[in-house]
Amino acid sequence: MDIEKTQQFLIQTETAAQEILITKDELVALDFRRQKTREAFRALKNDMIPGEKAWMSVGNMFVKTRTLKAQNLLEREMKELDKDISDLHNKLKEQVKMLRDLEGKPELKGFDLQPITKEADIIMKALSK
Amino acid sequence: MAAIPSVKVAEVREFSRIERIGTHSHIRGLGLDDALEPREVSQGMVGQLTARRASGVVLEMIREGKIAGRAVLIAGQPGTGKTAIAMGMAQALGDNTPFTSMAGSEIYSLEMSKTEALTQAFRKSIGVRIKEETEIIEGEVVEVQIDRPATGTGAKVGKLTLKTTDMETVYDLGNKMIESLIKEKAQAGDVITIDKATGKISKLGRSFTRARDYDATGPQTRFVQCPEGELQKRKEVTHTVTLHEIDVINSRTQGFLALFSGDTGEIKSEVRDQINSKVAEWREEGKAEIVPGVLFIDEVHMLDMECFSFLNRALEDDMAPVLIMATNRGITKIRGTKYRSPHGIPIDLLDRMVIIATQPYEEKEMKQILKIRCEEEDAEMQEDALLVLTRLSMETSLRYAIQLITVANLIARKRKAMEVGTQIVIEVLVLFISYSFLHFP
Repeated sequence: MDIEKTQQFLIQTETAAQEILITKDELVALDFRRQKTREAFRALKNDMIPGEKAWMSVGNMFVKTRTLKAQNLLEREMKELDKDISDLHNKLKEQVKMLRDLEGKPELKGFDLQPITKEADIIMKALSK
Repeated sequence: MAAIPSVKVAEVREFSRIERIGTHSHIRGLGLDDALEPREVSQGMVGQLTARRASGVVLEMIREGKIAGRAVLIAGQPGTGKTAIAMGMAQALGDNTPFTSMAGSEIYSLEMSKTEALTQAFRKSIGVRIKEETEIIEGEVVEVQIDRPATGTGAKVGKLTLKTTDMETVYDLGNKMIESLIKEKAQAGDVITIDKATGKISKLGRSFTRARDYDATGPQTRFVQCPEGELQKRKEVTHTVTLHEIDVINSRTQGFLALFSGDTGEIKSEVRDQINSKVAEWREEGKAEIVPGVLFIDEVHMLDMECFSFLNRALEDDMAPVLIMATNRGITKIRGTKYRSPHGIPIDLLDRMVIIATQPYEEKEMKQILKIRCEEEDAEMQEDALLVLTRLSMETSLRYAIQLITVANLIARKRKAMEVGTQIVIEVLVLFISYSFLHFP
């Protein structure tokens, strides 16, 4: 029946849209962590004397470690966060593509292109002069 | 109900178009419905149903983009809407597809050879879609704190606090960044964007929440909403450039100046080959997409035999646009030879083309077109006057009647009349004579 079909369609599109919203929230949360980690790293670098020990909160615990060790830990965390955010971006693109597919909208032009920022920059600069 | 994808931002190259009322400015599209069937009166197009349906099919072919190097000929008597159909197709394709329009006689120029002019026209009709990706930091400035060293010399240090609706963070600033901030005059309450790769700062405006900070603000002040979401976002922008533009940029150091002065001169074929292989490479690596567009050549009977042979060859290139030609000649001499052929086009090229024929308009169609033109030119026409004009266009030509609209409207306005009456139309008839009234001994 048509009603069944419409219901199916609505369920599918709503689920897809919800997934996109979840991914976006995840991105915001990860960026928040990234910024806080960066602030912590900066604080360690600027204010602490190397050789001294510093307090660091790891989840629910407070740990006293040497500043160098703490810095390395934070750096590694930032790298991981960058990678996670990158992966989430790709996931978001897939999900958006799927939603548009479901909704029957035409494909976004240039969605799947690999970026060529250096050359594109040169071309656009030359053209807009 | 669905989420708006925030991953991509479509950028449109903005330039202001001066609005002038031209002969075909009332055309907004082909006026087809979803099943590609033409509506009687739609989007400025009237009648000509067969030709419009055929053009709709051609349009779909172009949109698919997979078929390149096809030629279409729109042929019919003068004043039957050939150029109008081409304009409709251009509007219907939109900004994303390159549409180059030229007249046959534009090929002849002292500055470049005919084949060069044609090659450039072809390359202007093929687009290349590329994408650039940048990480930007976008947020509202909460506080800018700059500490100058006590000793006078030495680097300044500073902290910049940025926030969005979801988070807030502090950035340590180096000397260069501090200088940029001071130059941009970024203050608390401004919404700024920092490009992470180049360090460039741009001000987007002032936050709405800070609108009441001052009693008076300058005329340039724009108010924007505080940004949402992450502070550090990824921005992707897609551009469509034509092969000709890339040719020009690469063929000389001041290439971009040549784009505007029109003095591109002859571009060496080595440069073009290089560009072709580079674009092909990008295509392989998924870094670029080819967008084949449309080259419209009006008055194609003005091209000579050499041009036609060139066209034969050029259409077989794998990066060729769809070629739409229009002519109103019947069986004429091919320019450059003494042979006659239909439309002044050699038979072998005609063979490769799909031909769309336009028919002369009927009376009610002409009346409708005149009505649309009256609206376009802002002329209030009385019913009788419209009938007179319609009769006139049947006797003489549609274009003549359209031209009379402008003149009659002007006279009516000068006489402070609200509408154009039959009287005025007859007066104008006497003032501006149609060629069909002229009898030479």
